[in-house]
Amino acid sequence: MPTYSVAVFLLAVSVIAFGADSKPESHWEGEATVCGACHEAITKQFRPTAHGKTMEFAAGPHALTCGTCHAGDLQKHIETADPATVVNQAKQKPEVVAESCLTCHVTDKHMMMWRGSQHESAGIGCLSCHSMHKPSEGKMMARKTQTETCGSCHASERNAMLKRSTHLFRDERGSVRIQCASCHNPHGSQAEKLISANSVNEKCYSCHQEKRGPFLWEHSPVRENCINCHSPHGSNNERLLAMRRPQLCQSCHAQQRHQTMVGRPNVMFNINRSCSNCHALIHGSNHPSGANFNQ
Amino acid sequence: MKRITLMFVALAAVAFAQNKPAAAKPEQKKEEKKKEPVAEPEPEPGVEVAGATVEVGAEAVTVQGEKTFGFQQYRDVPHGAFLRRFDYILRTDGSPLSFTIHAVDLMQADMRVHADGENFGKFDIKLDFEGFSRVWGNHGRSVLSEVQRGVFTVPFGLRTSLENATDAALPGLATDAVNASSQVEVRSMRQRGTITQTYNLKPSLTLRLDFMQERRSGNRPINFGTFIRHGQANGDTFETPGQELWEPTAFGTTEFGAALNYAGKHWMAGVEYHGSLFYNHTASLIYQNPFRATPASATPPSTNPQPTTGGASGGGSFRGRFAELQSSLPPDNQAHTITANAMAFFSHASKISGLVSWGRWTQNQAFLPYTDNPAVVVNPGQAGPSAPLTSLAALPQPSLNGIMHTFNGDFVASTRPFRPVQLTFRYNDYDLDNDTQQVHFPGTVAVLNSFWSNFHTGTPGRPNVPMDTWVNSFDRQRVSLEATVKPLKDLIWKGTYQHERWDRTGRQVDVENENAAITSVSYAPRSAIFLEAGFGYYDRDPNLYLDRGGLENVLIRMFDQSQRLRKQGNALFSVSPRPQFILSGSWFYSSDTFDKSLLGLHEMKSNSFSADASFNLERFSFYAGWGYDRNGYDNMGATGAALPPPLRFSRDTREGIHTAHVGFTGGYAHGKGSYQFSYAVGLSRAAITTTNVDPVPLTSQLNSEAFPFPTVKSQFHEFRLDTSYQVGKKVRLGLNYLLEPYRLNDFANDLTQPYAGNAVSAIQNDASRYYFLDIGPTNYLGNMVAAYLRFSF
Repeated sequence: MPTYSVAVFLLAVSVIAFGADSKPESHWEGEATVCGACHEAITKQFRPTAHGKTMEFAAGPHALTCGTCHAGDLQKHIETADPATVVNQAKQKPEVVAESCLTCHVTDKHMMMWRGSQHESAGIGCLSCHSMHKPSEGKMMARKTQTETCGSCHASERNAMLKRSTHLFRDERGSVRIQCASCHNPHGSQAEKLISANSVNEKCYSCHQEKRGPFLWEHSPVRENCINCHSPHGSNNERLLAMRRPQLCQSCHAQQRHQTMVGRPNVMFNINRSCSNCHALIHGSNHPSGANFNQ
Repeated sequence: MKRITLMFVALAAVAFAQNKPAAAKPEQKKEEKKKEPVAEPEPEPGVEVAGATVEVGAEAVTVQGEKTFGFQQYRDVPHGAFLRRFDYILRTDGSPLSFTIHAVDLMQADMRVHADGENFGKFDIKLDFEGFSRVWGNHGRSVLSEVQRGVFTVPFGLRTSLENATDAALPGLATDAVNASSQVEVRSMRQRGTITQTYNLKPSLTLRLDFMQERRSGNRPINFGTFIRHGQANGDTFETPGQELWEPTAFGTTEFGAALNYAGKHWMAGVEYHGSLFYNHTASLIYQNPFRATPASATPPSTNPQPTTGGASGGGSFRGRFAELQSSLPPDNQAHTITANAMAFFSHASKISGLVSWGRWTQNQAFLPYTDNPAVVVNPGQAGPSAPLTSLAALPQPSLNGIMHTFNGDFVASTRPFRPVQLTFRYNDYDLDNDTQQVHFPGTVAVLNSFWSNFHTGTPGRPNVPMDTWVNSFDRQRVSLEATVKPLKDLIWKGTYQHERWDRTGRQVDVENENAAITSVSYAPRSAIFLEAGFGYYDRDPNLYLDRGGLENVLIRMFDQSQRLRKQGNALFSVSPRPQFILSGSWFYSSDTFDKSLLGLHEMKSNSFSADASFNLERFSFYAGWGYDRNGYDNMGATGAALPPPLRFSRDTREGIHTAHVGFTGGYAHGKGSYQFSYAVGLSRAAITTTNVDPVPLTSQLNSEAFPFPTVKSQFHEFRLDTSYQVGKKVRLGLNYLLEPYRLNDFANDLTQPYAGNAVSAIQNDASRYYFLDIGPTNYLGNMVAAYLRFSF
């Protein structure tokens, strides 16, 4: 099926759906205006956000008001302007904030794994990363970029972008072109390290599909876990390798012959790509004579 | 690419024509007046209501150095005029419709465009286009030319002259030929377009459809090596008529999926399908051997000493005398995955969730023949097919018909029986079954088109390993129980017990179990202070090591299967004595110790430290950070003719890398101007120490004696200066400057030349006939300056 035909079909369906005459009723009048009388800047910033749209148009179980998050004695707050009469989520403990957010978001699929996730048990709350009233574009992040957000705690991973090889590709303006969320779901996942796939390898195959196989000649450690050999964030070695070659290969292949030839620095086993000078198809070969991954 | 660009522009134009932002504009202006002075060229966080931004300018780039690719490793940096940014946002108060488009590096091959149209509560569509460029190397030279995709040739006259050259004349002839050849640049490009649509069929029922098409083009480096062996009194030496050339990456991937989710009041459930089809438009890679015009096989055993390896057929000397070689490339493959998930939640912050996923991966690309070297034949006395080895009819089957099935099951139960205690139970099972039928080959063409062998070439004493494919499967189960307790208001203690079990088929260890205890404590007495420390202890215990009759010596333990003791520790602090000032630091330690009575990896340790400080005033902010990562890994290897006794040697590597960044941002001229300066540095060092454990006899000096290795060092610096000034109501003028010096001392690259002649071979065994492209990384100095005008309206 031609690719472009599928794309055009989907776009055509989109246009129809997008233009569907189903304008919902705006609920912006009322409480929001009352709050906006004092908190004008906040409400104006808030209105075009996803939460603002929810407050304006959603009905039924998804209906949202200022009091949904800022619970308390709103009437007294209006009369006295005393901040203590309503909840200020920014001053709450992370788990309290999460409880409030999960009131609505608990049934989001990407939030399904939040409870019991590494970030939750580490005491991270929603407002550690997100901003409700003044978010940056997309995902309501508090900081401008994901790298800034995640790097504020994961310093070692952030520093990996300055290593010899890295996945955190930066352009000439310093913008990172592969984001943390390209591989991780910070809200929890079904795999280790919050990987947003069934396994580390399945995540890697989502970009490196050519390594998925199955191959005629399989390399078992490769099939089990890419991280057996690679450091995905960055490495001092080329191609994100966890160790320098040939030592990486010799971690298993210490069975004499040329695999463990000690060798001077300038021998073919040590220069350029070392073992991969000959065993280039180390991720798997489909050649009847490729049992040693060399063609 | 142009079609996609035009599509986005057309969408934007249509949306712009329907724009009704009149009500929003005055509010936006009012808000802008209240904004603090802009401290950075990029916009501050905040969702814009409506408007457009266009950034145009020009850029100049100079890169000095022999190999300059590093500066543009991940980006096709443009020279000259650019349309760098185009943003269009349409949101109207009171309307559920919105449209946004964000584009950077427009009209460039690695541009990025994201468009989003939404009818709130009903429908959402996201369109993305992303381009990634990857420069692998430049200024390399090769006598090979790619005459069609995946076919590399060398002039017949040159091959004849190199084949017939004397040993003394060969280096000069080959070097001259390389110097006269054209330069090669190896670079690849990935372009991906994605459409994601979400339909809210009902408030609680959501349907998502997604479609992705990816195209990969260009090349990446690949090596093909083999060797010629010469027996010597003090060990064997090798010649290596290998090649480094460029593999075409003419790949395509189509992915599609659908997901249906239902959210109830206290539960949710969903089902999802995802398909991925990968195509490699280059069936194989064929290259001619620059050193050979006449195909020949390895020297048969009757005229040379019978080698200790290589099977009964021998072929120990003068390997690699093929005139042409055909290699396989990644085959087409398909993957289909179905996932079902459900979750229910109860009182006391309790939930149970489950996710099960089934996958099916297939691959059935036609095999290539055993060899395209007509000189390789089945020798008398050897088992083998009756058809010529160059014929597909000689193969036992035409293709693999490879099938793998995967299953992932993840189940979580979490509850907070009373406020200070949270308990989480988790069970995960990942199973990969390789259901491909084992293939038995009567033999193989060994060591790159050199000779027919009935067996794997392998470890001394194990010469007769049959040519059967290895069909390996595994099942990994992990169960954990975690308790989080708050004994005090500001104190959190966390303890986890985890058990992991691997069950493998076809590998040396079939069952292994790992028990782990992990604990941490964090203390946050005030919002300005956070302290945390943790420790983990993991004990992996494999079942008996099974001698599968393969190549491996029983003294070896694959590090991913062997006994392992892992200890991990971490500490973290963050202090903010004043709201404007934050100081933080972290430390992480990991130590893996393997069974030292065996060969292979013995120890792997890492330490990382970081310290960060930031200071934020109204119109000025400053940040600085430092990190140090230290990795060490110790191996024990063995050389010699047979085990035991081995000739053991230890090889230890100690890597260290300092990274630091410092910068400040500020504003001037009452907020009209802004500036940002940053400096980042990465300094790495790797020291490799090799020592002999056992005395080396004279007859093994060449292969077994330890030599010192040079220290590997790299230095990366990056200076950035960005400034911009509001020259008009809607116009901002900006300037970007980048200076990037990079230095690398790595003997693995420094000793690589397109054709080294005998300069290297005179020392020990050699790379004298290895044709490297010589495109590896080296020093460079990059400069980039750009001036732009940003129009906002």
